[in-house]
Amino acid sequence: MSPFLRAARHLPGLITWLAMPVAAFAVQPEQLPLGGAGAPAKTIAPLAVPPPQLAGTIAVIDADGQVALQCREVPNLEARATFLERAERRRLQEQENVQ
Amino acid sequence: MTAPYPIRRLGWALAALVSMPAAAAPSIPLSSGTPATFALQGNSFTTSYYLDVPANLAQGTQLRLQLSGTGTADADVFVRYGTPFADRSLHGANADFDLFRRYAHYAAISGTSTESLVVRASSRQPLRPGRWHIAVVNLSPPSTQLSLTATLQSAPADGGIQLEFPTATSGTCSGAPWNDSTPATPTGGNPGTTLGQQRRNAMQRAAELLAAQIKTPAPIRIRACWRDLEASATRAVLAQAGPTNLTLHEVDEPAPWLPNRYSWYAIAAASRLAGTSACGVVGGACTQPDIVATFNSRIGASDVLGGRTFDYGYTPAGTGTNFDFISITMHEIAHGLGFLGLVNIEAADGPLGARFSGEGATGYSGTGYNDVYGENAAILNANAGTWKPFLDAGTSDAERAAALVSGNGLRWWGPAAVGSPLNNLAAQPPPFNLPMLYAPCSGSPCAPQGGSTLSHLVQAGDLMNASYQVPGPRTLGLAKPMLDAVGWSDANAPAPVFTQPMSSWWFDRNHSGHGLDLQLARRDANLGDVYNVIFYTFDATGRPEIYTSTGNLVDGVFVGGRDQNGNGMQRVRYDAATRTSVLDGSVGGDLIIDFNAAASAPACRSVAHAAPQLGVMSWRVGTSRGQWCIEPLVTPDSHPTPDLSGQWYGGNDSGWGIGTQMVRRGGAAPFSTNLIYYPADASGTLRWAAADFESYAAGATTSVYSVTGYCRTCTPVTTTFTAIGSLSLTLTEPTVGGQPTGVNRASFSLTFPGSGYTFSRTNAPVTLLTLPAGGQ
Repeated sequence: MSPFLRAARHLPGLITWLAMPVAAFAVQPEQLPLGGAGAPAKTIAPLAVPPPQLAGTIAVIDADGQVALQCREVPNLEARATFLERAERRRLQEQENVQ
Repeated sequence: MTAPYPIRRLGWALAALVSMPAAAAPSIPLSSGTPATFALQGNSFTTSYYLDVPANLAQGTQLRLQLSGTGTADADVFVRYGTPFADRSLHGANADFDLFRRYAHYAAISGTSTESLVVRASSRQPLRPGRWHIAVVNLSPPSTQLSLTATLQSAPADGGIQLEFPTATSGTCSGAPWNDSTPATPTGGNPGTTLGQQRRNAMQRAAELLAAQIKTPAPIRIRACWRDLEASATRAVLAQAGPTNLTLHEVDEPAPWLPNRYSWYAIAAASRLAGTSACGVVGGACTQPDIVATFNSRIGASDVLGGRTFDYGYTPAGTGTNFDFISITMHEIAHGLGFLGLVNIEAADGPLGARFSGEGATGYSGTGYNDVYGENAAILNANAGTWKPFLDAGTSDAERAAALVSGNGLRWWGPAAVGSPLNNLAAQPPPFNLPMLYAPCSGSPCAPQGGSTLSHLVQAGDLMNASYQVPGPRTLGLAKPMLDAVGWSDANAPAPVFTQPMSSWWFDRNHSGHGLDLQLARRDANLGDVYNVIFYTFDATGRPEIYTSTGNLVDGVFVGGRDQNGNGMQRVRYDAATRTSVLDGSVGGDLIIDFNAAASAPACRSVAHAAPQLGVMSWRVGTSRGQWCIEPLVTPDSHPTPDLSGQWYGGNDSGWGIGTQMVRRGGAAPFSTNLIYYPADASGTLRWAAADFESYAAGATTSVYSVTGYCRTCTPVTTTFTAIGSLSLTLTEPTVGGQPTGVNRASFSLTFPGSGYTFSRTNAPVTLLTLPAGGQ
């Protein structure tokens, strides 16, 4: 055992110190509390709205028994609740605007 | 970092003249690939980190930023090229989340502390040599240990397509058919020996084929579902797909990584352009896929389509009666990537050709936005040999509706597709070389054919053709350059150029009488030029009132600096004792004005495009909000020399001011129009009044009129004018700032109707608060 390690055996703090990642000695960043009254909030973010329609492939068998496949757009009915919610939010804002 | 700046001590809008550093110098360089670990206090931020990107970047190099934290913290990362983030507002308030969003060129804001961001040469703010600033925000209460790594990758890995095969039924999405254990014979190179295996193999193959043709830094996530869709003996939906969400950039919801403002993008394309995941773009949990593809679980039943079923073979069948699963899947996924027009094509859902607003019963109520796919569509006038953009402001819903059933009049003008060798019409002379979109006429009178318009090609053999083909294609074909136009291009992007608004009074044609006195107050190459804005407007009873906002122009967007109360637009009162103005805390607001591509905004669609500049102004006063389209009243090139236009104030005798706009007249003295901002009662309520000099000469005197109008959200009425006093101006030199020397003076005496209060000055020295000649 090297003299260094012998010494280190009696100095566990030294081992710990040597084993610390380099990053631990890195300069710590300057930091500031977030501004804004009260708790910070993600008050603005890009919109996320479902599309009004999807696309679909439809197979149709005609009178002659021939199959035709047509690519079509189909209403995205499940999204409509979201559209109504957004309209309601706008209505409430407009109501707020006239008060 | 500087001490908060007390707005109470300001004269009106005097903040603009105060050179107040609002950004700490970024102090910690990151080394590519080496993590920086640090603890970030709860509800705190740091702007200390940056990465210097060296010159001579290899083609294809990308910058990847990764942030990872511990526990359930919500930490976000923001990136900005060139100049730093502001860590304080001009009023000294610490930066808030919104301010980082305003400065960011890229942001990853998911609801977690694991964020990833990629910037490429094709990104809107393209990767290039120089300093890339990084801000990290911890939105959670507890302190969080974070690791931040910035890596320049010369051979970046592609994100590819990740498929999600649900194992159980959730809502309308069933995963059971993916695990169907019914024995199956390997077919067309698909080695699966059960129906479920073959289905998953085919789905995986379709995804791989597409992923080889499009590149994306973040994986595209597709949820693959089965469900009972429409099915009968003679007709059935085989599959359907679409983006889970659309997103866009607009003044209140910035997404600066999107090339087209005020235009819908499919979320997969938007995420690619943002260089992060969908949740990184729009926030929240990272559980939603980008695309949902749903297959009809009734296909193959004996009572549906004569028992015809899917063909799961890798090799497209040249003949046969079954349906090529792989090409159908690729086709539907391509729609989910953004090959999808959004104008209304169903008469029952609203006006045909109407833009999608995302509101109302069907999503077509009110004023909608463009979509990036539709912005590449064109209307061909075959007789005249001309074309016009499908979504141009001058193209009506009726014109679009007609194009949707025009047969050959609906085209694509995106240059990459037009010039592609894959364009079957490439040999035709312009504009007949524009690729044709499917616009059939059904019935009499013509109506769009059951939804099959706009989002398909008329080009035999192409994956996105409106009709199914045998053999089913395995390549995107012309859809590739078309997809490039909606967010999938790998071409190097030029550095964006942002609008510098002219110093002027700005007005909205739909709100005559209200306006902005917007003047450049100070150049700031670091955080953005500083503008003083006075919003002259009317209160609830139609009386004139003003709000002020001082802020930086960040990439062509005026961002009203927030005060300690969180307001970016303030109302102030005159304090006669100190001869200054003080903050009126009873009401606050916000002001954001986006001067970039405003002509594309719904608010500006009806405005004559002859305006020299346009801006979309988003304002808030208390809980009332609005978006107006504004344009300059007087352009700088019409000012006389010397140009004495600007905002004048009295130095230490503060709390009032005069806004002046001068207009040159050939062979005559200039016309001068003026707004006077003055206290109108003993409590110091600030109001504005108007005074014109038909022919201005130093020392001239004119009448001052108070204006009565209508509130910001009221139906416009004709404004009325009441004489309230006189104004004499002696303006000789455009002196700026400090204490006025006396070479410029103002005299006035003003009595607001019914107040019994007169505010006056005699030969008061004044000087400009803002840069003369608009800083030109």
